[in-house]
Amino acid sequence: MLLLIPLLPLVGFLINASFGRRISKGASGAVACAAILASFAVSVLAVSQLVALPEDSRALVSHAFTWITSGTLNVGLTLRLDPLSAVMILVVSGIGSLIHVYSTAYMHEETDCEYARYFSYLNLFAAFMLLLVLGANFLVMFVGWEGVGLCSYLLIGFWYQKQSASDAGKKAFIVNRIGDFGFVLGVLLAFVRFGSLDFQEIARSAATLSPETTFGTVSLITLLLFVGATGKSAQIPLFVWLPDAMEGPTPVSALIHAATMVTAGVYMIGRNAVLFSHAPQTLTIVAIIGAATALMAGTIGLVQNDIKRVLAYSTVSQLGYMFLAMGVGAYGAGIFHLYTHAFFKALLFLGSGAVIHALHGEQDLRHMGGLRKDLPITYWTFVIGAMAIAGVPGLAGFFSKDEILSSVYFGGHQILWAVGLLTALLTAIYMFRLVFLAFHGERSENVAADASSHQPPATSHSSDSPQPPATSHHLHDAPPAMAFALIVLAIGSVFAGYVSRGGWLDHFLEPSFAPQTLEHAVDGGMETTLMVIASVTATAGILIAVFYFLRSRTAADGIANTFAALHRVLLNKYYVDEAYDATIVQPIHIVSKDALWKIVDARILDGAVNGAGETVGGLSEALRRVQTGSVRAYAGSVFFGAVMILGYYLWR
Amino acid sequence: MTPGALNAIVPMACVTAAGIAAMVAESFREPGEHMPIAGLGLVGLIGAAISAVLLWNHNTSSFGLVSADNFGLFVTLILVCVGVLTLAISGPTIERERLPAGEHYALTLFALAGMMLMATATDLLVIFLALEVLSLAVYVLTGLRRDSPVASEAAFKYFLLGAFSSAFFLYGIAFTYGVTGSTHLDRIGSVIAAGAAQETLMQRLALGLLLVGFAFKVSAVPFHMWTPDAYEGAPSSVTGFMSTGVKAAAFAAFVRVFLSAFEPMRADWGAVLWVVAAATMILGTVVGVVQPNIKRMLAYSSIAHGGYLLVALLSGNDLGKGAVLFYLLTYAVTNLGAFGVIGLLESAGTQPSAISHQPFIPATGHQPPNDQVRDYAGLWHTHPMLAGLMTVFLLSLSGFPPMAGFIAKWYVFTAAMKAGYSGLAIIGVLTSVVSVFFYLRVVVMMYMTEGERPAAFPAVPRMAGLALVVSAIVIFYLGILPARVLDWAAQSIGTIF
Repeated sequence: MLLLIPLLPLVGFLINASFGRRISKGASGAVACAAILASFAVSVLAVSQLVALPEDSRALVSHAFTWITSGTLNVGLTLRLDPLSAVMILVVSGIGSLIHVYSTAYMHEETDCEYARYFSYLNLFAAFMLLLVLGANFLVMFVGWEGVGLCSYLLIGFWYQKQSASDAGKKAFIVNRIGDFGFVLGVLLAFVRFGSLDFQEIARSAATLSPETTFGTVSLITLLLFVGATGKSAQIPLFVWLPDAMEGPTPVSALIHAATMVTAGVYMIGRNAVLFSHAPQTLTIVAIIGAATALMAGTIGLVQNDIKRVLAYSTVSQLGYMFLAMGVGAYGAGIFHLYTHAFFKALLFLGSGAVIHALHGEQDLRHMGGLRKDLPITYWTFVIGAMAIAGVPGLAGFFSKDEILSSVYFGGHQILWAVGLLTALLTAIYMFRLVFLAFHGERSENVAADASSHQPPATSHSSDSPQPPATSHHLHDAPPAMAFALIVLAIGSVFAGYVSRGGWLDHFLEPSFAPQTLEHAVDGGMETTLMVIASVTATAGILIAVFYFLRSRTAADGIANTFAALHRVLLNKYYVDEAYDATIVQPIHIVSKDALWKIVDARILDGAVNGAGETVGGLSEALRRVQTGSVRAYAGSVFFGAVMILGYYLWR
Repeated sequence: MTPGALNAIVPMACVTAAGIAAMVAESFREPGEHMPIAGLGLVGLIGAAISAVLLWNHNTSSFGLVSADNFGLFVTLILVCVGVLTLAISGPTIERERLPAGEHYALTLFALAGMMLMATATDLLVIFLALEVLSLAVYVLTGLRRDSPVASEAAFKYFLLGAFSSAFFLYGIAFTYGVTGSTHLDRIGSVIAAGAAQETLMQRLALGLLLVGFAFKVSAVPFHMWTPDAYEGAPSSVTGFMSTGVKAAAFAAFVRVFLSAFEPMRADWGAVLWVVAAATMILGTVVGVVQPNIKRMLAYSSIAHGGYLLVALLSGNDLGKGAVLFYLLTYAVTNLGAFGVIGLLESAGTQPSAISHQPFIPATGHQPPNDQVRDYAGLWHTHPMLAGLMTVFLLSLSGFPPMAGFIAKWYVFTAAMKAGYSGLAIIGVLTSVVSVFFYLRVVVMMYMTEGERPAAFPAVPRMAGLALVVSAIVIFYLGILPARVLDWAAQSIGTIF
């Protein structure tokens, strides 16, 4: 049965990929939605079976076939459902379904062929993602890991006619390859060290070790794996691709870059919790990187003007939170935040999509305002999402964030706790800045004029008829399919946090992280104090936003002017892209394009084989060319190699 | 002579017979008459496959020079696959280039016979003989487009350099004979093993010279320079053939000579191969990234793949040995598939314009042959099936799961890690990560770029289409259910060394 979960979306992909051009939009959309919904249904069924099992043996294993056996290497295509993957498949297939439904309306202006292409990618992505979280060993996980990377690339670059979109796709791919490099090496090293690729077996072997006090093999393995996680989950130093990935269609951002794929790194650490617990030094690195990323992305998010980019940096920041939790050994808290974040971040992205849809592609916050009246559903659901992420007490984000912060505090990391708290404050400020700029106040007059030139209209790029000017008179709120998704997610954003009541979720997840979950002595009084501090912080952040972005925007501009230099740095995202370009991209470019090729490939030296234009032909021509020197150069190379090898043997 | 003494050479005899038949058929063919010459070759190859299967596990040997052990037979079967696919995809290229079909097929079959001999020979002189048989046939095949200066030049370069490297190889044999008094691998092995304590300078020189000869044939850096030119100049079907067949045969002999006869001298050749393998992987990948011509790009890709094979050979443990064979099989199917698509597209691009604009000059060499990466723009929109197949081949070459290439690479890197060559494994992972870019560049062209390809597309010949689809299925099969083939590979090689 477990096999069905990734298989159903795969079938959906195959149908849309083979017949998509010949069937109508309605049909291809229905196929894709049916596939993922069916997968969700099977997931629910499977999880209910899992919960029915006695607590100490909660795992369903489905062994499809033996993939590779040879000597000590024995890897099966095995899926394993345990509490951790149960949470993941529900998130992936559940929120994935909503996003599929939402997309049927959002992408409606595409041609039939493009529409089918979109949904086939979406289904394929879901299939790989489900494989990733269900895989019982590193190799199956890696298939999913690579697969989601490929799909993400295809989906970011979906509007490939737009140069920025295909560039963004490329950037995401390149950055992720760097991460994959670390990941593969980590897996290889783990295999050599533990003789297995199965998560369970590795955990069992690792559990017999004592935690490494110095930086040893396990630390290296986990560090390499973490490099993979920083790529996939957009952490320092590999976070640069995610903001650019906003060039993709908005539902894609919601699915891939908020709710599912980017959480793969967090999930992977949770999956190997035992291993990571034995490498305290790596964990420290994870925690510090997580906290630093959270803070950095939060500050950048304060000043961005593109509605989706604010959300993108917010995602990076929240992922940093999750890594912070993982780094202090609070795996349950990290996964809990992953789960609640999936709801409200998907909601926020889809809400922003509804705004962009209504404004025919406008994404600049400075050109929005006053949308509250025209888009009530979008507005109210968006506010719920913003409150949830800001950590307003009672909503989903509050519980998970609070759990992370208190784990950090009780883990004895006061500085990291302070950083986390500051990030929480920033989160509340930038989210409500977004809400007030987009939905409150008055709309700027120059909207329509700017909208067309500012950025290529995302939703209407392929329609030939000119869009009606987007004035404030007639804005349409989200159509039913989109509204449905928004409302369901809003409900989730409110109530999702309650699964942790009485520590139920932590307890449920515990077997997945066993046998080593770091337990910290929790002081009841202190816990309440921390909760109050967190609530106050969230409220303070919202109030700051109310003051600066609702009441008196001139004050906000005043601050921006006072700290002009800082503002510019933030606006330019700390110049990280520029720094990478200057220090890494350009040198590689120069070396491979101008140096290596010219030296190594003789074609440049003598224009060797091109045959262009010559009419004489035949052997004489060939002979003449042979004598131009390239053969001598080639023979010289052979000779050089021979001399090197023989010389080595002679004088060794 | 005892009955059955010739059994070990039956596979190559079948192929040779088919080659002779093809030659005879061609000479009796009226101009313009269609003859199923490819079918003749197919019969020969099927015969070779059947005899190889029958010989399996029998360990027969002929003249003490050719040994049909399971290792040799596995490579023979890989070569049969190479042969069948080559015959199937050659049609369009032969038609477009107006190549002499009979010669093309006959030379292909003779080359295959040489390759099979090389894979099963257990004597250095026979290996050399086989090497020359296959090389001469391939030189001619490279230059088969006689009216194309590009092809003639490529063939000439290949020939000159090949002769040069053969000299090294021959000197290596001579030195080996001087040291050990034999050219037979078993004997060489036992002599070297006996005197391993005081190995002589001469012995090391012999090793070095043989290494140069093999390194040239597997296009290892710095002996690779001929590869891009030869691959670009040869007709696409021939390029596919030589990039896979020659590599398989050369690696088979390489493995046999180094892992058996010269195994006691591992300390000597290990260090050199380490450097060569690293350089080969790095150079093939880095230079491949900037190639605008798809055949040249795949030439560098093939160099890089040679590097991975060297890593597997160097690892030499049970994993590594199996990995060599599995990798060769995977690579053969994948690369031939890719070149099959290239061959089809070349014909698609030039046919109309060649006929309409330049009626007096043969199309070859003067018409842009439609082999630039940018020529693949929008293929998905005009011919989705071909684009889909090409995607499978390229993703498999780049080692993307769940295609066969992924398992093959995974296997090699695991073997390297296990053998303690973590440096090579790191370089290998890094280069294969980078190599994705140049494969993906073509995929991006096909799916994400608008092309101005005319909608009219010549029908894909049934044989070629079938071969490509089968290749793609095999790639998925080897990627998803590789266990059985991996076992065969590991067992067949494990029984020998």
